[in-house]
Amino acid sequence: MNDHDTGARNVPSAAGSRSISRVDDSHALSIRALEERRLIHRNDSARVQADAFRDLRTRLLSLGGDSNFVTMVAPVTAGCGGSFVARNLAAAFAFDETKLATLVDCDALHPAQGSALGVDASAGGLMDYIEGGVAQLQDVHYPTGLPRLYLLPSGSVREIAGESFSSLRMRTLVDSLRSSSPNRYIVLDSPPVLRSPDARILSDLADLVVLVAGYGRVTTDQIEKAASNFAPGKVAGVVFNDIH
Amino acid sequence: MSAPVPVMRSAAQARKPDDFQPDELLLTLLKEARSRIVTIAAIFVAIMLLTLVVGLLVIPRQYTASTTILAQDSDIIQPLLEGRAVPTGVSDRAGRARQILYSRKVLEQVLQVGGWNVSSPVAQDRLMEDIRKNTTISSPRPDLVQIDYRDSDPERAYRVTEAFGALFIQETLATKERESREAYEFIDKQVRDYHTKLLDAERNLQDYRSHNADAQPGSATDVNARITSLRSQVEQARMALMEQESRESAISAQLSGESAVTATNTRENLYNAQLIEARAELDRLLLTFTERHPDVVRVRHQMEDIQRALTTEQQRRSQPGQGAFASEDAQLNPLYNELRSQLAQARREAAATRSRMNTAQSLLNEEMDRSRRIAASESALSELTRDYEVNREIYQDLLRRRENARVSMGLDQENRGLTLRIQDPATVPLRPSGLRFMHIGAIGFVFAVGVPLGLLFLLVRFDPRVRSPRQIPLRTGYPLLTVIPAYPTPRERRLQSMKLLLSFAAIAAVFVVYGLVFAFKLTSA
Repeated sequence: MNDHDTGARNVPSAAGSRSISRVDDSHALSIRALEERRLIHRNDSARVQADAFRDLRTRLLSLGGDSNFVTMVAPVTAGCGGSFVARNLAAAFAFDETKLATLVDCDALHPAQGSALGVDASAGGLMDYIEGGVAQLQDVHYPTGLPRLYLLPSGSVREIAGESFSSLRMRTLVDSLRSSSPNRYIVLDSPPVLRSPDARILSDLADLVVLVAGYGRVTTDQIEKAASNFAPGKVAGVVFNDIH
Repeated sequence: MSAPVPVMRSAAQARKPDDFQPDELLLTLLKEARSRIVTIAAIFVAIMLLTLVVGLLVIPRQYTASTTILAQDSDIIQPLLEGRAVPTGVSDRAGRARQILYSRKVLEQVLQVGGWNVSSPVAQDRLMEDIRKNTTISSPRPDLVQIDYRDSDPERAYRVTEAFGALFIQETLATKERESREAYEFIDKQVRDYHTKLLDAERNLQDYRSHNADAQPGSATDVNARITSLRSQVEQARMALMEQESRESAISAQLSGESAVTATNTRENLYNAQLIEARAELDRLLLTFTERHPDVVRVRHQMEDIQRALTTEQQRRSQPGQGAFASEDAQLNPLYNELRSQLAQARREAAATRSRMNTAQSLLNEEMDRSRRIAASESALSELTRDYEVNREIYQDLLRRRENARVSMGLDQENRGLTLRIQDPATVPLRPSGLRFMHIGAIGFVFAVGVPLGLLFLLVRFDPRVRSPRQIPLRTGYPLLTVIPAYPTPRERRLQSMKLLLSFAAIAAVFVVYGLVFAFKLTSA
């Protein structure tokens, strides 16, 4: 497995190591394109936002410990910008040239990451993989326009995904992803906590849970209610998404 | 993977009351305003345009005409006639003016002056009510009455106000005159009544006096004086009588001591003398002889005879009808005669005094009777007298008052008691009064600014959804990891700029419209 993936087409594979990156073309996105997709970049025009995500990343790193961990980003309700936070957090992880990030889009009802990152998910996504439609993990592990950032899109739309999330295949997926590289950080983009129990089920797979509260969208009671869904100790904290 | 820091929550932290710091509040307000700028501008524009429409078209222009009337108590005549004439005071001028001007009579005339044509009594009533509502009557100074009337037609306002002024003067003077005349007539009637009463009382008194002759004024005192004098007379007579009687008795005592004849040798005296001789002889004989001596016995027998004869004489004398001096040998005693004449005189005097005393006593009794009668009739008399006197007093008082009322009436008839003069005549109002367009515009502006900002404030203050990141760890106890600032796409940025531009343009347009309207009004007015 290659630690320094930059979206290159050829992946040198050493014997015994697995590669889970697709052999495919991906163009790096321009600044303007990034801004249109609300993705952070290193330019000054997005400095404030990038710094905020770096800050979040740092905190999570301090909470997570030495090894790579799985972060679940869960918006309290729909419209809080959970997907935005999730992909930008993954991008923040990917800023560091020693790290890799994989974003897993677990919101089966409204999958947003594929289009946001400009990834053509023709080979299928998470749901397809879990249900057995796709055999190989690397088939659904797409590179994105950002270096070192990979996306596992949601795949076909499903109403109820809870059962899939609690399946063995899902668990093995996460484990394989994690163990594929010691620098690969997994970010799970979960559906809104108060909408369905999917987030609760997903949190079993994650090490840290980050709640996202949008400006003027949720009350503190809702935040508390959402946080109480998870095992005490897994909730790393709340992110205030100032979307005015 | 190490376990993350356990989340600590305390009940007190979780239940902290909602507290917005003032700077946080301001920031949040600005944020919300920016994101809702279009709505705010729309509300502002809508209210301002509504105000414009209302101010221009809906609110009618009102014109107010005003007149001031001076109502002054005549200051020359007043002190001259102080105490003589009572000026009919008008203390609450505004209230009385209202009473006069809002009466049906005056309002009917005003309706004619104003040129309203009324179809039915109901419409007339309503019109009168409207006129009342549009009229303000006040008293800015104690001797001024100000009448203001508001109408949409300036000409009519002027006419009506002028009519109000004239009618007020006319009616007030008429009222005053009527008042004083009625007062005079009332007092006059009272005077006549009391005159009759007085005559009645006089007659009663007269009747009573003529029936009871004693009931003369001051008769009681007379009677008392007479009683006193009579009493003293009686007393004196009694004393004199007593004196004379005592004199009489003294004289008669003296008289009885004297005898009518001086040396009256009456048989009794003779016998007594013989008896004494005999006794003397007896005593002489007894000195030498004893009882058995014949001389002594002879003398004792002589004495017994003499004693018998004496006793017989005494018996004869004690019988009545025997003229004691009939067959006596008496000599008239001159002292006796004197005494007798004195006694007769004394007796005469006593009799005279007695008769005098009796007369006086009977007179006294008469007077006492009369005084009792007088006392009995006193109460009735005093009642009648009182009646008469009271009536007389009142009558005299009323006569005085009537003269005062007559003078007052004369004053009012010549309108000298109160001067009513139009101080400030009504003129045709040139400019409308009341709420000017500018005021309406200002009020509208206040609302236009206040309403959206108020709504915004209410939203921020009372919307429970969290708007400040500080509140999250405060109220939930979960740590705040970070605050992600907004990340608008280029398109969103453009859109926001356009929204801002549009809003400001709309607001500016409103101001321009207002400016034009003002300019137009200024030039046209």
